[in-house]
Amino acid sequence: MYDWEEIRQRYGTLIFSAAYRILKRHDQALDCYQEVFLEAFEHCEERPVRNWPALLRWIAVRRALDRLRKERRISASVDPEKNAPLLRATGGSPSDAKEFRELVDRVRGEVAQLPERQGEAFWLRCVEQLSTAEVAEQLGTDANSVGVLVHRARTRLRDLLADVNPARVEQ
Amino acid sequence: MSQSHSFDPDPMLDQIVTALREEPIPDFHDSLAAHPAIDAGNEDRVPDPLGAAGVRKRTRLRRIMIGATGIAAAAALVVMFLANGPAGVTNLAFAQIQEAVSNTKSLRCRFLDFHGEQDPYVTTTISALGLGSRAEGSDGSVSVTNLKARRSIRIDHRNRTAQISQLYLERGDERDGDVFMEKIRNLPASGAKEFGSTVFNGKKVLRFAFALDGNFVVFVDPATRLPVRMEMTLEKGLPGGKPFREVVTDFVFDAPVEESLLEIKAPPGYAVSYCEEPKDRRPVDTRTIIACPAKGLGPVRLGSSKAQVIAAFGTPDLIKETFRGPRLYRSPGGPPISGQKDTVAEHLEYPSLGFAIGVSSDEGVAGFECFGRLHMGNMARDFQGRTDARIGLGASMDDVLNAYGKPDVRTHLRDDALFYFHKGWNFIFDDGKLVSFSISKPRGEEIDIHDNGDGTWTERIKEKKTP
Repeated sequence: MYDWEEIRQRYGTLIFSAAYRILKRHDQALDCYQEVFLEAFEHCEERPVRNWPALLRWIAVRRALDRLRKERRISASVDPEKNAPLLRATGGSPSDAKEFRELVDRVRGEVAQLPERQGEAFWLRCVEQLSTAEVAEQLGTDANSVGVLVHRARTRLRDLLADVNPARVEQ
Repeated sequence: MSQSHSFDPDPMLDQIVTALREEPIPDFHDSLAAHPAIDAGNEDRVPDPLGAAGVRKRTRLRRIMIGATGIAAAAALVVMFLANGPAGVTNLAFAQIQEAVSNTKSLRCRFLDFHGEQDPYVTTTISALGLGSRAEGSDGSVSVTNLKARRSIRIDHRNRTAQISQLYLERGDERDGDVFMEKIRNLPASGAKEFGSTVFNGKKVLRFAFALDGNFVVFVDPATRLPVRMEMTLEKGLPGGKPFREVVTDFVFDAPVEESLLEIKAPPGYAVSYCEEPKDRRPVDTRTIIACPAKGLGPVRLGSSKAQVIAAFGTPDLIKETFRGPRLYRSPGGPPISGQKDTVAEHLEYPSLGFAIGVSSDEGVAGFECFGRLHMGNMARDFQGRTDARIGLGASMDDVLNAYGKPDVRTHLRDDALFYFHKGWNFIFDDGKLVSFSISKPRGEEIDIHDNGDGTWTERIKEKKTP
């Protein structure tokens, strides 16, 4: 039996932060936070947990990406303009803070559009900075596969950035 | 002129990843953290961590219970506990349970209410989203709410009577009648003090235990994420310090509900009364009404006659006779004094205006009660008037205490109440909000009232001081 109170105290902020980084909404992150604990509870009933922070981060990232995916589906059906190319009308420099923020948001959204395992692997490895071994353990695969998943994710995101090519400035 | 810069997406991606990683995170106030007052076993009400929104939800839940089931009023306690901003690790899962419940369309379940040592009062309820609900009590009473018909019916099979009442639905009330479903849906996603699994009916279930004013436990099927049983115990929930316990069990979600069960129809041969706003009654604006023992209720004074009440407010929605018989007796328990006329006591009910007036043939208006949707759910409109100290429905207990001072009796059972017998006021609170107040003739100063501290009080005649 695990001491859930202690787990919550030790890793609560970590889970919330991981969810918030993806969702950028306080209420959504809190909901996600709760979902993480329920899933963690069910998870630990099935098998022992060796690495709590890695498990909780993985669940948080997966749940948050799920939410983001769902949200984007809804917004796409309501407002197709939201999926329009990001910088098509901005014409600004990437050094411009506002446009950079938009680019960051765009990439965040695109991660949710990647194949699930690619998105999770990328986010856990690159943003949450879990080790390859930790990511592999959570995804139930090996380090090489994680490397491949992250590489593919980066390629797709790089392509996206190349398409956007915010360096082209009309003067 | 067009100017191009070299652009390498890789460093840009790294830059973006760094920005994502270093995203500023707002303060994290863990709503799952145990509330110190609860942990300490403090019996006082604790503030709702959800603030005003939480209070509103809880209140709404409570009135749903009253409005929708009537005879299952005790079940409202479940609402109170569920919605009271519980503490602990485990509220975490409640968001998902709420989601699962919110996806259901109908529910059948049974409430078993244990009042002290008595046999349980059993209520079987059926509710269907957007349609209404039906509750059958073990005393032979049936309560049906039909949202489409905007009516409810309360059938008393023992006395072969039925009362059909108008519902005053507002936007959002289409969910009224859901009873249990609605209250689960509205639970704050904050949780239980304990979290774990146990075995129920040979099946592994998740267990959520809440410790608020009493102990409350919800058992949930982890596969469906739907409740399978709920238990609530108030150790001193009844007057005299007696325990109250409620068990909700035999859940069946999404079972088909025959609309005929929700028919507003009295059985043949039953005496039927109607509580409906008379169509030809002139409108009354309750916002202008001031209520107080000295002045009465607007134009009606304590002691006014029934005819004066009707002249002031029009025909009541319902007139209910509560007593008929001789008032004066030769001795306590002895025969009545001969030659006297029968006294008739009646309730003149105006739920469409948010009040009811008690009147007797010999003393006139004996008292009145003002209420609204917080107390009666969709069975009434809000009384919008004020007391002489500008206290209206929805006021806090502190507002009332500041206005009227220390009460003669203060109870903290299944409702909080302040009784000012010497001033003629009673104030009833739910979730910290004033949901109804009543006025009656103030007790004389020669009567001493002792608060027993367990929801009861003792009245004595003060001893006269000899000079």
